[in-house]
Amino acid sequence: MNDTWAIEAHGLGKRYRRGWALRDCSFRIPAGRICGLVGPNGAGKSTLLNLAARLRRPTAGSLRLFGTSISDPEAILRMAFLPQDKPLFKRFTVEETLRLGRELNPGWDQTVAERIVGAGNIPLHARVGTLSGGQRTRVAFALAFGKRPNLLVLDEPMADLDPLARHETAATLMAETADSGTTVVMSSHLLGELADMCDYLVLLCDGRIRLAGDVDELLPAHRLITGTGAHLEPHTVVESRTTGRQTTALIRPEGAIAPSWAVAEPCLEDVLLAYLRAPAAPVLMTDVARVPEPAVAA
Amino acid sequence: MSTLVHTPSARPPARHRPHLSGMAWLTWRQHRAAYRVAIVATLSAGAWMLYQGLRWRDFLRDAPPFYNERYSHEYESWYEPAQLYTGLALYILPLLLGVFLGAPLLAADRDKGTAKLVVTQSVSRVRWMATRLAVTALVVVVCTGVLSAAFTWWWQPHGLEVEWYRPERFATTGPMPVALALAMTLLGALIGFAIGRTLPAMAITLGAGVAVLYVSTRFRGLLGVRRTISGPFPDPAVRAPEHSAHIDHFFTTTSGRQVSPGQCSTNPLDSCLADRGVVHSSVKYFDLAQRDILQWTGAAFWTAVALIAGALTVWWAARRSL
Repeated sequence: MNDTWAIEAHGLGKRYRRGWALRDCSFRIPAGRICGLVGPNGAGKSTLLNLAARLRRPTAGSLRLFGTSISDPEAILRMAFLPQDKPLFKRFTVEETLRLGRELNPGWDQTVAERIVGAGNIPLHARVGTLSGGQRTRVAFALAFGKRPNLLVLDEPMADLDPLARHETAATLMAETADSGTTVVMSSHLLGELADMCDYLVLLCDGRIRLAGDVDELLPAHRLITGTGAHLEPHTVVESRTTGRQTTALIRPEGAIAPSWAVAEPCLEDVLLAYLRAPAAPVLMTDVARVPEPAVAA
Repeated sequence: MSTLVHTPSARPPARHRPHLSGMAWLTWRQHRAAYRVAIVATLSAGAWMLYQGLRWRDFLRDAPPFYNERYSHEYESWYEPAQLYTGLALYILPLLLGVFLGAPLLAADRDKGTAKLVVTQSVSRVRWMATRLAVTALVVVVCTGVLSAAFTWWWQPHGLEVEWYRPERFATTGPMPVALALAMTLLGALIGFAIGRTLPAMAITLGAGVAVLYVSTRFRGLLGVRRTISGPFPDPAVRAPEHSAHIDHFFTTTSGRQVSPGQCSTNPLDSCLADRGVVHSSVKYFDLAQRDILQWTGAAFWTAVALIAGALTVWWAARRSL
């Protein structure tokens, strides 16, 4: 078993009847990271997460969780998945929902699960169907963490929550993962929250990887420049906009930036927005995220 | 002495009931409403049939051997319709189980996304599906088995052998209702798993169940080989024994030509046939002793259908996208 890489994808692709949802994706996520998965709607985020959860099977390529291929049923043992709609049995009580986790998972940790539920003051005998959205999310989290996963995969966990519940959910997530060292991969549209939580990023557009790597490496690779100059060469331009005579651009500097430009360090949100607005921007993957080419071509 | 470690968790008080664990527990918890309805209905109907069976035995013991208006009236106003309608109820029972237990069993799970919840725990998909189908099959077999046994026992002393080949008797006694119910429930489960939405799955299962009932009724004559009795014509000995069913007569002339009784519309039949040169007659029939063979053969066929549907569902569950 390989504990270095939580996720390794190689040439991963998934085709539906209407076309490729995910194509030729090669990247990896080291264990222990909190990874944000970003992309516009239909970019293939949910498809990627569903492949990791073994709910769908890839059309091409391979995907490994801690070195175990997802074609192996064992791959599910070390991961927990929270789908977007957070399905739970509505007629079960909270206690029965936790029992589900206990009955179906050999490594179940009842203490962790009850702590998460208890922190939300959710009565154990309440039926799941009567809980609020935030409480239901908390129960779903308890089920996921009770499994003691090495990898927790969350599909838009905050999407349907009010700001208060969102904040609380984020706090729970950060507290529990800090304790356990769990690797988290979460898709989200909430760039601000991702910036607060994530130390690793994967950005998908049209089913392909656009950006992947440590936030600490990705951010310094970019500069936000403003000025009236027209010479953006030799830098790699991610996105540039001109308002009147003023040009604003997010670039990956290649050498010194001309002094006529006002240079600023972009925040994560700036970088993500630029890449989301410019789907044709050149791909950037840090060395950590890049999968080494196999020695022998298949 | 071992020491019990008490966790601060609020565990349910220990209850004196069969302890289920793992996937079996989840299956029972998830579908317990349907299972409970099936079991309570079976116990009530079974007890009622037991009581009726005792009454029926008293009635037969007390009834005089000659015509008696009071007994005759009681038979016609109660026992005869009771047998007919109970038989009809048992006849459509497999259909009800298919539509209300089989079809929603897996459809609701896909409808509400809870299938995703369960298959991403640590249990394998094969075990997930096999356990659910097995527990459901067990409930169906026990319930229909009890009902079939109760109905059979009720009419055991007298009544069962009369017109045993009639559709609602052939399919409601012995192993037949069990096999039919199993087939319809597992077909319903497969349909529900394929469609993933409860109401359409129930509607399609209803259609499939009607087809199963039609096929099992229409083709029950293929479940065995009819016996034949032949002899010179006319001979009163050439006729099917009492309580025989699916009877056909064949008449042959000296030249070997077949004459069907339909060609003789004039009465009396015998003289008409004799006029046409019939010298040999034979009768094909199922006799009462063949009932068990026919029912067990039919039950084996429908059990095989059930097993194929169940195996297909498990095989598919291990592979498909959810």
